[in-house]
Amino acid sequence: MPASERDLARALAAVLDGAQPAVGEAGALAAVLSRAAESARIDVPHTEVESALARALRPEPTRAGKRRVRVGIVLAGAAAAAVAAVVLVVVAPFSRAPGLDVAARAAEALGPANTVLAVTERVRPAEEGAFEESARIGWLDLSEGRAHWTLQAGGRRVAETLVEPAEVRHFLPQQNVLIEASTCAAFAAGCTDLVDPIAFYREALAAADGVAVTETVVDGRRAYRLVLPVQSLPDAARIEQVAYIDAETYVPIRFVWRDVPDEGAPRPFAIIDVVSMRAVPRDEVPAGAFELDVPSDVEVVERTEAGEVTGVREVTLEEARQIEPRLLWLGPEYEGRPLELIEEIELDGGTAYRLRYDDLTVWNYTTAVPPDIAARRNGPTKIVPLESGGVARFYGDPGGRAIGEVEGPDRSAAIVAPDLEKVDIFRALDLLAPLE
Amino acid sequence: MEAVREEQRFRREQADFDALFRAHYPEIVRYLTARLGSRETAADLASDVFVEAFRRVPLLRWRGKPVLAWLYRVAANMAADELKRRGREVPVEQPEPPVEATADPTETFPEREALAAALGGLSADHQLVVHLRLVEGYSFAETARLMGRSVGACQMLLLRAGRQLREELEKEGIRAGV
Repeated sequence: MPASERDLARALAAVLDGAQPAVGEAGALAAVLSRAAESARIDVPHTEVESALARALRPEPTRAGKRRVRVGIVLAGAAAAAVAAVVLVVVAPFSRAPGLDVAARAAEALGPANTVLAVTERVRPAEEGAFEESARIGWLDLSEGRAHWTLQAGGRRVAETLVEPAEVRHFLPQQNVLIEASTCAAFAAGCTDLVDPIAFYREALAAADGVAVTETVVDGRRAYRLVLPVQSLPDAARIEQVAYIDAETYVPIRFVWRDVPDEGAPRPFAIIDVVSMRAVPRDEVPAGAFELDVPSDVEVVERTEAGEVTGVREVTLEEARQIEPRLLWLGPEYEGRPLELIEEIELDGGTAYRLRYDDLTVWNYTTAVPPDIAARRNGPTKIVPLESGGVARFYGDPGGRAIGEVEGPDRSAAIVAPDLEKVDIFRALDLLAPLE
Repeated sequence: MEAVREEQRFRREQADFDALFRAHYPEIVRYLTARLGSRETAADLASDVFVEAFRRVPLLRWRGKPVLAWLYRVAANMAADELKRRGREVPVEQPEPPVEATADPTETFPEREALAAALGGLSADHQLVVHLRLVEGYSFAETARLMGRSVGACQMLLLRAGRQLREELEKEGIRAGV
């Protein structure tokens, strides 16, 4: 910007402030602005103010309210239409040939690779009471790297995520916070939200190797049961997915997520019923399908990609109590694990804190995610609502460890505990409290 | 000391919705009228802004900005949505203009209408800076706080807004700046 522009802007300001005579260009512009402003100086009578106040205190459904549910309405419409759409799926002849044949037909039932999917799922705990049941409504456009998910629980929206190639946005309605970043690397869970059960299922079907198929019955329907490993490297797979597909249509009807311990049998964690799934031709995808709908007054938090660790120092409990925003912790002891160490980790993009409870670690971070808990890029994420509000995300780190994360406007926290199963990590996440 | 007073005022406005409404409803209506070009829609939308305020303002945290900054932000967002919505709407009927109605090139709009139209044609930031500094008469320092920008940035915005207004008015045959 040339210096003369700044000078002219200052001169105009001085004329408008009455500190300088209205001459030259500054004077001319001041006159234009003043005349335009005069035209906008309309009277709002006292009586109008009072009647508007009376209306505002007994609000009716507002335009603002309507706009917030727009995506929900669009998606609910898609879900209703899905019942009809399912019957349009090509019904493949019944085949008893297990393995590749079933996998191939199941893949075919999902439509071409560039199909956009409108999906409604019901997510419930395998172990009663482990977490609140929720509905996941969304759009998946895997060939374009886009996904839009709305998670609802108890009749309210608890989280909404939009992933696009150059932007990732998480909206947390309970906190009215929108967390944004230009790259997946800025989020602990990375872009693993893209890996919905159905998306992962499609990917696994495409690979087709090692998909074990058996016949079974689900809710009185003949079905195939496919066990899909999360990773192609068996030694790194800690979570696996069991898919149930309709034996007539080959459309998925249920997924079960299971923890796979180093020793012992897999333990089911979450059951995802596919309420509806519709393949939508690209030119028929509704305009709002990949738009995030947030309130006008949402608080926006920008996340940056975590860089290298530049320093680590020990922090006393007393010092930790003074840290703002407050650290989240599990108290001085958690289920027999005493708090042993608090460390401040300096990162290129911000500061994180590590609280060590024996084999369990609680991470606190704000603008940048510590590299230690950044997700592997192709793993799945499970999102479940917390009783205390907000949602927990579960994903795997590069070493295959399960990590639970809660996001917030001031602090996000993650729990890593190699010896705990997801159910236990989930309980611990719900117990996190400010360190005061 | 000033910051303490500002925070006290913020708390008072959080706690007293009626006072907040009475103090700021008229200026929000004026702002929205300029943005939307319709007094009726502006009043309607201003009510929506305060319904949101009724629910949200008590939950706001003090971050060095007055509640009014929040009100303007919500109003600006709602106005943008309204304009976007209008842009998507297709008129049901688009009557052909009658031949006799062809504009007389020597005829100009009344000046007040032309001024309002030129103001409405400014970008959202330009409109807001003109509104705050000149329609409502806030100082540059107050305007800067309400807009979340520096005083220098607000002065530059106003300069550009003035130039654009002059250009638009000259197109309408109004010799501006005299």
